[in-house]
Amino acid sequence: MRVDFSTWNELFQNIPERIIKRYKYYKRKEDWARYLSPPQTFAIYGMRHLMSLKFDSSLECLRLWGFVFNETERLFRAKQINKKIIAVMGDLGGIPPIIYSFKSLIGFYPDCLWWQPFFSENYNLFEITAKASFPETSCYSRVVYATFLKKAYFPKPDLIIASTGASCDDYSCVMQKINNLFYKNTQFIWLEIPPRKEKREGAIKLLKENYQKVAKILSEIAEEKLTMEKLILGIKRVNLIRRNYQKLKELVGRSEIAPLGSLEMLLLEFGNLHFYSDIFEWQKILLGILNLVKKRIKNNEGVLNKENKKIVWATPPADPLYLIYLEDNGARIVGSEYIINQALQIIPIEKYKNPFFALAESYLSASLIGKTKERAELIIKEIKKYQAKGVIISQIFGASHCAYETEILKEEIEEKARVPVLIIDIPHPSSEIPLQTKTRINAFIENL
Amino acid sequence: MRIGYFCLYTPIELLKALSLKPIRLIPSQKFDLTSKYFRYDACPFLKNLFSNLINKSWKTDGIFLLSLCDGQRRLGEILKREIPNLKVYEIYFPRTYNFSAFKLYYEEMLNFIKTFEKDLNLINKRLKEEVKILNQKKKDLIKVVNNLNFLDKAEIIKNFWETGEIPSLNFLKPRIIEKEKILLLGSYFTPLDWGIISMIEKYFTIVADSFCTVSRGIDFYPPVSNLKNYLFFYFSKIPCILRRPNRNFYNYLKRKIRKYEIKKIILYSLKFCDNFSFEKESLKSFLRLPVLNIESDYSEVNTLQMETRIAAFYES
Repeated sequence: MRVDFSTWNELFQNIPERIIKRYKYYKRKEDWARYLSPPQTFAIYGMRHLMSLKFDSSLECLRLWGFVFNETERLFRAKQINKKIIAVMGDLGGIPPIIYSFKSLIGFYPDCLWWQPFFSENYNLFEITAKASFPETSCYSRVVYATFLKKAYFPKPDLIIASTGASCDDYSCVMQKINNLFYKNTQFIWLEIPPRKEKREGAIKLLKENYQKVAKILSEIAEEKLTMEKLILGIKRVNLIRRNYQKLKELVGRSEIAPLGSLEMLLLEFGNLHFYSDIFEWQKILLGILNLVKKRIKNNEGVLNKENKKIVWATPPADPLYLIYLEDNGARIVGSEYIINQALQIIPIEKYKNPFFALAESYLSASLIGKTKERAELIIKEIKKYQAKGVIISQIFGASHCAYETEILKEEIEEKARVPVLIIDIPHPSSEIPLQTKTRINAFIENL
Repeated sequence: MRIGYFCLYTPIELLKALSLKPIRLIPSQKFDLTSKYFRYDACPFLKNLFSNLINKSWKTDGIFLLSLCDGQRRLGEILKREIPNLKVYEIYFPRTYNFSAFKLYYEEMLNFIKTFEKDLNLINKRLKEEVKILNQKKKDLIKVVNNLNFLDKAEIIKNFWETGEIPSLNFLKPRIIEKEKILLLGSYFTPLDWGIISMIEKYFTIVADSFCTVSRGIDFYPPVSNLKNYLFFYFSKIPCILRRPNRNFYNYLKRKIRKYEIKKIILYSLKFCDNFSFEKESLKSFLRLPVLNIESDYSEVNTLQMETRIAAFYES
């Protein structure tokens, strides 16, 4: 069932206290580690966009939302229980497997806070970046700088890792500005992202050396030796999550009726990045949803109409409202290319004696480090796999990769997959989608 | 083979040692025709560079691209689609100062070299000669342009990159410093941007700049050494705002500010050039000087507004 916000709140009242008490983060027993709260709580804390969205009514998905929105609290708690906080920026998936091989380290992506202004329908973070003279014509990820300044979204990190190179310019500039803020009192390391080319050995070697360097620094911070066994165990844990997500995506994409909505799938896909700062609990949440989906498929249950047309979405929409609008108007998202392909691939530890090599090879599948043509191939693969009838590419005005890749993507997809492509710009936070965009989406769905 | 380039990190001496003819692509003309692959918020310089290439503003058989900014990294794919007969050489250049990254860059350069010449000893020998020649020419050029007004300097340096010629000092008028001294910096500066200079010089004297097409291009001298040391110099010694961290670039600016007793800074960036437009506040805080940020996309619609802002900056 897909329900609106008020129904979702009403349904929460039916959940017995013993179930609410059951779910806790960081494997803690104390009551403060609970994360299942009434959805209204998130809205009161400022996430007013929730009131415009629709949600899966299952307990499994409520658990997912509770866990995602509890992350800020969880990070502050982590600091209180003597965990070390590692901010990872830019690489989107390569470093966390190393971080989570240490017992006392928690890794998180400040990058993911780019959703914040959209969920809160608030310009506050943009105003801070404007005061710092950031250009208006740049990616929304610029708000990450403001979250560092506000000191309200996460505690002061013990280490900041920034990756740049074959990546987008906007975020590289944001990271440089954060570096300027912290260079005196926080350890800050820059890592190089090599481009993906035909000859991969050099790039793999460079990434492997990067990861070894990071592991050494993390080991000092954690005051814990990282043995190869520990790292392999950490990678296996990550692989289990990635494998379960792959299964889930396949089940959802291939099923006749959508067993899960695209908004929950988006949260689940991004969970592969840093497991919302608690890998063990995330593993359970993901498994819970996987079982729910299996059950729904078996019972021929779904959350959308059977007739909804299959779409692949490329580049994450900064505003989640677009996904809901699409589903409400006769489409469903069966495939996605949310520029985090590197976080979705199984790390090939069986192939290499040295797990750092395996991490490096896996990272080379990153969405944005190669040619646009290769990214188009990822999208085309999704189209063919799930028999999608069209593709929507969302863009951000001023984002460096969008300015050069979108037309190539469109051309490649139309030529090789023979499906139509709709390109839309996601504007600044708002409670409504612009009328013109709504009309374009409707017309696109009608013509599929 | 004539090979076009524009990034300052292009190892020109090496291209010459490979018997290639490097041509620095500094567009003087603006064409309306552009590629469909560039969205409206793509870099105005890259869009116009493409238009100039398609209109054959230069006689070039190939282009040498480095992966410094996202636009440059992605340009090759667009050029291959639009101008299939143009040979595109895409070389990875590290954004950070990570030594492992240098090794990867060095390997890519070796592969590039081998497509033209297999004998590395010969290349090393020729490279030393080319470095000596270009270093000497740059030193001679500096003597000529050092005391000229900014526009003359920009024009002479542009001609130098295009023709290798250095004019005689006798024909040039020295700069007269009678106004407040400023430092001008920003994105890739071409003749299409020269219009801003007369506007600025109504109020200020530009005594220093850090454009890669003007002063920064002749401020650094690679060592007369072997290939690895030579490439390491390019990797580690030439400052650029795009490098991470970009502290070397700020230190370079600090030296200029101290040397020329500069009181104000004008940041002239191209629209959608994040690498410069994000830096306004950092310039202020690191250099502790007032900074005016003006943007251009080569159109002339904002001329009056720009002049008003420059005048206000002068009065402030």
